[in-house]
Parts: sequence; C-alpha cells; structure tokens
Amino acid sequence: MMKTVLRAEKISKDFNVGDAAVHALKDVSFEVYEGEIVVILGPSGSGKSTLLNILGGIETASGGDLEYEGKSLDWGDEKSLTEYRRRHVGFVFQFYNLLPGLTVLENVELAAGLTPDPFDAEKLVKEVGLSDRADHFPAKLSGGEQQRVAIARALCKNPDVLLCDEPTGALDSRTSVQVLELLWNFNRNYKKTLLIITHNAKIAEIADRVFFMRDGMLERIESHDRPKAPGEVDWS
Amino acid sequence: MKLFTRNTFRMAKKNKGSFLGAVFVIAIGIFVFVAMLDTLQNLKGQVDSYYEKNGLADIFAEVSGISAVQLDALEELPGIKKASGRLTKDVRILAEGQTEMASVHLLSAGDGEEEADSLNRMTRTTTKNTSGTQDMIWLGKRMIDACGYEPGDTLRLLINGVSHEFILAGSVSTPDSIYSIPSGGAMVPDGETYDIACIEKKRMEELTGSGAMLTELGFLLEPGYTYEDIRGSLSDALRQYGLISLTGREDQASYDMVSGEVDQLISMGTILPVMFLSISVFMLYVVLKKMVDRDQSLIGTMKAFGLTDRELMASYLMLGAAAGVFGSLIGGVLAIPFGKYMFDMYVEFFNLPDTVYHNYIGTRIGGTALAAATGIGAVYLGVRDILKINPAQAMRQRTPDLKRTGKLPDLFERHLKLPAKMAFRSLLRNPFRACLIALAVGFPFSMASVLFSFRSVADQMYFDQFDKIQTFDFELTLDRYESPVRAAESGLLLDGVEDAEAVYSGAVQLQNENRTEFAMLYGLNINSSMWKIMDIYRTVFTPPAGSVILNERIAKKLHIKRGDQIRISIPGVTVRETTVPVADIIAESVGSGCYMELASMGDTFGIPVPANAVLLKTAAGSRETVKQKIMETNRVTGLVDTGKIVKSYQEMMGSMMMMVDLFAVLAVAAGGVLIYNISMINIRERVTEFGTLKVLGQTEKEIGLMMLLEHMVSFFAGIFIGFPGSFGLKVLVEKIIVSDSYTIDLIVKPPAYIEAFVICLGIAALAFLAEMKFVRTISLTEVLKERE
Repeated sequence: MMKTVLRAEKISKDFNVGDAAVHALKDVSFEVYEGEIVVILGPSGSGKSTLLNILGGIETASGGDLEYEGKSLDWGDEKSLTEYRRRHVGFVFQFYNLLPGLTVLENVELAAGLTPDPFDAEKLVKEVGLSDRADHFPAKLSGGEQQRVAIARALCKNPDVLLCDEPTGALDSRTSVQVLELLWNFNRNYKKTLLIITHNAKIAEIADRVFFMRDGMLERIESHDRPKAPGEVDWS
Repeated sequence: MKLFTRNTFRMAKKNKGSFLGAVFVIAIGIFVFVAMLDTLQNLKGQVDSYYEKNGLADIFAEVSGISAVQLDALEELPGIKKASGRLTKDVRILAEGQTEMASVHLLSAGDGEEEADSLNRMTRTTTKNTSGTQDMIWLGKRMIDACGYEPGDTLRLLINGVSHEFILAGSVSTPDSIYSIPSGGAMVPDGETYDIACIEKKRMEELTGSGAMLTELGFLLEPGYTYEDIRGSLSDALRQYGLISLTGREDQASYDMVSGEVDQLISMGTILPVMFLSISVFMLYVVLKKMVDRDQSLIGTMKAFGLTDRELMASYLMLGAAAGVFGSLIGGVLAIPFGKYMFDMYVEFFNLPDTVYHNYIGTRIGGTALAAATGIGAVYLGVRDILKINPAQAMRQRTPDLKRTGKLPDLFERHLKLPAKMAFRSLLRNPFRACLIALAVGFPFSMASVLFSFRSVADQMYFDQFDKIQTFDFELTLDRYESPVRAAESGLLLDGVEDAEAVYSGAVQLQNENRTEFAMLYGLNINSSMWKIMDIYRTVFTPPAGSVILNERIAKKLHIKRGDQIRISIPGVTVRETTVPVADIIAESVGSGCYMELASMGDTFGIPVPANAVLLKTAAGSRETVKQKIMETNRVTGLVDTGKIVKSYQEMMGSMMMMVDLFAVLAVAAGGVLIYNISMINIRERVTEFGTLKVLGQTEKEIGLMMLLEHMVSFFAGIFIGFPGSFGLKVLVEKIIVSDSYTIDLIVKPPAYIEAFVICLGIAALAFLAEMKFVRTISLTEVLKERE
C-alpha cells in the first residue's frame, strides 16, 4: 500500500473578476502518493497553476480540504502555511525566481538555512553540474543554468514534495531534457514526490500518473505502469 | 495618441500615492512662493507708495540747530534739489495710570502749506478737535494702541523739566519712522515706551525754547546724484550748525529695517519654494523614471506601431503638468490666509498706515507656470530615456548588468550572515535605489536641523544681549553730564538698587580718510559687571583705554582694520576731532556700537564729566518699586528697561517663530512624503524578490530583518549626507538673514540634530512599517507569474 502524501477533497477555487465569478477549480479530488511523479496536464486556463499553488500553500482554496500526511491545512493560519512551505514543499518556477543578489551557491544555501535537515548545498550544486559556476551571480547564467540552480535550491530544503510550475516553459528543448533529467533523478534517487504542471504532453510520459485538467475540473487520471526516463522520450 | 495618454494616466492612478505626494510637495512650494511674494508685493508696494506720497528724503541729517533760511541756502549745493526740516526733541510723556516710563520723539508740525511742501511729510489723522485754548498732540498709532489712549485723553510732556498738558487729537505717522525705535537700547519697537508724536510748530518752538530752529533735516537729490557724491560738501556745510549725524536713505534706521525685511522676504520667497519644488522634481523624476522602466515594452510596442518619441513623451509630460497645475491650485488657495497673516504681522511690526491686502493674480499665474514647468521638467528628466528605447530591444527581456553583482570584499563577506549579505549586496547592486532613500532622508534632516536651530539663534541674538552682555535692569539717561562717581552714587541712593554704574552712551561721528559713519559710542567701566563687550563667538573684551573697539559692520563701511587710527568727534560735546587707535574689531549679534573705557574718555575727548547714563541692578523683588521711583524723578530723560525689551521681543518672536515653526513642519511633512513615497516605490520594484522568499518559506520577520538592514544603511547614509546639507543651508540662511543691525552665527547644535534625527527616524520607521505591510499583502501567485 502506497503512503498518501497529499489528499485533496473537493477543492474549489472561485475568483471574482468585476461582477462575474470565475470558478477556477470545481470540486477537484485526488491523492498523491509518496515518491511518485505526477504530471498535471491541461490547456491554459484549465486551473492547473491554481491547483499547484493551492497544493503549495501559497493560495487558499474557496472550498474543500487539503491534507498533508493526514493533517488538514489551515488556510487561515498564515504561520502554519509558512511552516508548511518551509519544511515540506519545494518550488521550481517557470521564470526561476532566483535572488539576484546571491551567488549560485548562496541561492541554494539560502534554502538550506530554512530547514533542520537540508541536503548539502555544495553537493547539490555539483549534482546539477554547476560546481564551476558556484560563485557566479544569476545574471551571468543562461536560462537553463538558472533553472538548474532553482532546482538545486528547491531540492536543498529536502522537501517531501517538489512542485514544479512549467519548469521547462522558458527553455529550449535540449535544456528542457537536462532539467527534466535532474528532476527525474531526484525523484528516483531520493524517493521524493514530484508534481509537474505543464501543457507539454510529451512530459507526461515520464510521470507515474497524469492528471488531465479541463475547465477547472480533474477530467481523468491516467496511470503509467512503466514511465519513461526523460532520455527515453522522443522529444521531436 | 489620445488612447496612449489615457493609458498613461490610468497607469499613473496605480501610483496615485506617489503622484499625490508630489502634488502635496508642489503645493507646499507654491504655497510658500505665493504667500511670500504676495506679502512682499503688498508690503513693498504699499511702503513704496507711502514713501513716494509722503516724500521720503534721500539724505537725513541731525544738527544742533539751523534756521529755515540757512537750510534753504543749502539747496544751492550741487546735487541738492530740495531741503526741508523740522524741530525735534526726545521728551518724556506722562499719562494717567501710566506703568512704563515712556518717551516720544516729538516733531514740529508746520501749517498745512508748509507741511505739504516738506520732505518726510507726516500723515495726521485728527479724530478729536479741541477748543482753541488747548494744545493738541498727535501720537504714533503704536503707542495709542499699546497704551489704550483715546482721542480727547490728556497727556503731559516733560519738556526741559516742565510738564505741559496736551489733548490727544489723533495719530501721526512719517515715512522715516515706520520702524520706530529709540537710539540705543531697544531693537524692537515697543509702543508702551517709545513712539513719535507731533505738536504745532509754534507751540513747540515756545516750549523747547529753541526758537525758529530746525534740528532734523531731509534732503532730496537731483537726478543722477548719489549720497556719496554730495556727502563731503553737505557734511562740511552742516558742520557749522552742529552736525550730529548724516546718513543716506539706505542707512536710515527705519528705511534700513524695512528694506532689510523686504530683502529677506525676497530671499525666503525664492529659496524656500525652490527647495520644496526641488523635492517635488526629485519625487516626480523617480516616479516617472520607474514608470517608464516598467512601461518599456509597451513603449517599444507603441513605437513599433508608429508613435513618435514626441507623442509618447507628451503623454507623460502631461502627467507632470497636471501634477504641477493641481499642486499650484492647492498652494495658491492655501496661500490666501497665510499671506494675509504674514502681511498683517508686518503691518503691525512696521506700523504701516492705511494698508489693504491684495491677492495678486500675477503671483498665482507665476506660481502655476512655475509649478507646471517644475512638473514638466521633472517628468522630462524621468522620461527622456524613451528616446533611447529601441522597439525590438524594448520588447525583449532586459539584459542584466553583468558588472554589477553586488559582491562585497571577501574579508567583509566572511563575517556576514546570509540576510546581512543579501541586504548589503542589494544595496550595492542597486545603489541608485539606496541613494534615493538616502537623499530622501538627508533633505528633511538638513532642513529640520537648521530650522530647529533658528529659535536658539534668535534667543542668542536677543536674550544673550540682556543675559550675558547688558545684564543691568535699567539704563537711565540723565538730563546732563555727570562725573561717573557721582552718577553711580546717585543711582545707589534709590531704594532697592543693588548696584549702579555710570556709562557714556551717545552718538559719535567716526571718520577714516574720506569716509564718515555715525554710530553709538559706549563708555564702559573696565570691570563692569553690568555691561560686557562680547562678540557672537562669546569672547569677552575689556573696554580699552584711549582706543576703541569697533563693530565689524562699521569697520567694513569705514574700510578700517585693527591697529588703524580713527577720527572721532562727539557732536555737541567736543569741539575738535580726536584720533584714537582701533584696538579690536568685533562681530556682534545686535547693535553696531563702538566701545572704550569710560574713565579714559575724559582725557581722550577732553570731557571732564563724561557720564550721561546710569545702569542699575535691582535687588530681588524691587524692580517695580525702583521703576516707579525712576518715573517720579525729572532728572531722567530716558529709561531702558531690559525686562520690557525682552518681553516685547518675546511677543514679536512669538509670531515670527510661528512662521519658522510652520516652515519646519512643512519641511518635515515634505520629507515624510518623500521618504514614504521613495520607500514604497522601491518596495514595489522588489515584489518578485520578496514574494519568492515568502514562497520559499522565509518568515516576514526574516524578510523584515533584511529590509531593516538595508534601511539602516540608507538611513544613516542619508543622515551623513544631511550634515553637509545642513551646513550648506546654514550658510544660505546666514547670507539671507544679514542686516546692518545684526549679524547671526547660526550654530546648529546637537539638540537640533538630535531632534531632526528623531523625526527622520520616526518617518523612516513609519515608512518601514508601511513596507512591511506591503510585503504582507504580496500575492504570491501573482508574483510567480511575473518575469524578474
């Protein structure tokens, strides 16, 4: 029996745009298990980013319940949400969001300083292939390199769940594969849960399960018995 | 184009706090500009027209006595167009229930035709006619108001030791006594103790026993002539009539005070608005620069669509003009009551007759134009980068500045924790941002420290004079010369007097080569405990025997320096000039005297009994009793009550200080708006950075600590900048507030710096709290959608 890390129960999210109410998420329910890769796939406006933000504790749901390791998240308690983000969740953003005033190593060390049991920052920088650029500032790195730093930063916290928002959205195909390989290796080597949102259907091939989103609803879930490694996917 | 402008204004609405801040500061600038210039125009216009209407003379002279015929003969001197004079005498005035010893500068009033043809014509308002048997007197309005006299009241004048009754008929004013103070003693007009008065000429001649003699003269110059051109010849011609003083219009006491105030108003009305408008320029520049940075891709797109640089810039410039015009409207309206208040204050201060306050439309148009130009200028500085924007480039992500990493020296970095490292690097990576905060702090710090020091300077000027220099309670002017010992002894005879000293106090003529000046000479005791000679740096000098200590302003006019010989004559006392060396030249806060030892005056000038005044120090609680006794004696022709002078100074300074305090409040308010706005502009730029930190799990406390470090560095840099700023401002203020009557040494003392520091710290703390509130409200989901 696989351990449930996240359990969403009828999650909904409404936004008010002027007088009109937009239902970004409608009664979305699912479970995410320890150590699996979940790709959330869907067109623009399907609600996948909103869902990821709710899972990451940076957005509150309008309704429903989200449990992390069997405990409900208290949307009203900003302190506990910060603690949740700090201890259990790692983020990788489409536009990297590195701190420009810190070097590669320091960006990673910053995250390491937030948890009691972080990974070794230098080792992670080496793992993402940037040990020779450890003392460079983000402005001197290419997009792919910046994303690798962002991944190292996210991993360094030793999070239970890594949430990736279009991690390859701003990268060329070759660099995208390198980035996905990093994420895949992390998942396989450390048995950490990985959630990736993307509109690129090819990425779904590396997932254990794929959540298809449409119009704010979870349309279907597809399981892969034998997910591919990024290198095995035909990206052409 | 119209739509782009609409978009620009709509986007500006998102920054409405910054724009309103700029509008507020512009409003302050224009408020000061309009209020000052309106006051100035009203004051200068009405004073000038009063001078013109009443024929203010170009040259003023005082002689022992000259007949009208002899005076008319002086019109033959080249350069003299017209000469006229009147009989004058300083006499004591007595009234029922009088509490102060008061004196008046009594003027003779000729008949209608004679008066109409004279210079320095008096304006008399008669409200009470009397029967032909009673003598009438017209009194200065300041004294009427201060003493509460009513037309028809009986007043007595003590002339040559004899009391004469007069009925108060009305008020009198002359253009040369707008600022009416007695010679020596008070620096601030006090209607309770001194003013001008006039009685019919014939009666005055009878009562004073002067016959048909004139003592105070006025001369009008032919066009093309100056005072300097005829000074020599006129001085020579008047010597035979016992010349006591000769001055050009610029140096005439009342004219000098009024023009000094007008000059200060011009300086203040120029410098203060420029200061406030500079802040608004700074603020608008920052807001617009950031706006254009943010809108770069939009501007690129518009350029790609075919909009010209001029069209694009015009949209932003309209924003600046709108801020300027809006600010000027608010400032112009606020200036109405304040300008009137200031004008009324001057009217009371100078005792101006028949004044009407006008709100000049020209000042407002000028203010609006100035404000609009300020707004447009500031915006232009901010948006001129539009010209450099290349459409294709603008739509791409901006290339990072690879050189500016913000890396600190290794030695330094090693000792810093990560939040501190981040804070310092952030400062180094974006020094412009740090500079903006520093400048925003530096400005109010400089301005507040100088303005807060002003009160102590004013105190130093006046209170020091009576607290450290003239420490006596009363100075009595005697009706004749006495030996110093006898004069002091007679002072000590009064009950309640603790100490008494004799002094000499009188007008003298000083000459160096062909330069002449009239000044007060004070003969003081060498070990005087009641009158010290002290300069603005608080150095005490001993009155020299056989030589003089000269005031710096007089020395400058005479082109004389320490060690030079100076010729001195005492009109009406000495028959010949005496040459003495200048022992020292000193800068004094108030007054413009020269000093020597009293005991040496006998030998130096050949005066056997040189004392003409007595200084008294009273025992505790006997001040009023002694004063009453003095008022009862008829040997005393004048009384200087230092306590009364300080009181009237305090009353005058009360209104003046209100103005200074208002400017201090405005400076602090402008500084507050500046610090707050720049802080908020900066924080908005860093939404992504702080949002990311929050998403990573950093607490607000941790983020706050980093921001606090950054703030502290910028804040202290601002305070550091503020010190030279404060010095510059101090020099500027000293230059503005310079007059023939006083010199100031504006020392910005530690308490003023501390006060300014605390205020700036308070504002910075409020701005920091506002920033933290902003950080708390950052929408993490929105942040993550944004590109760095």
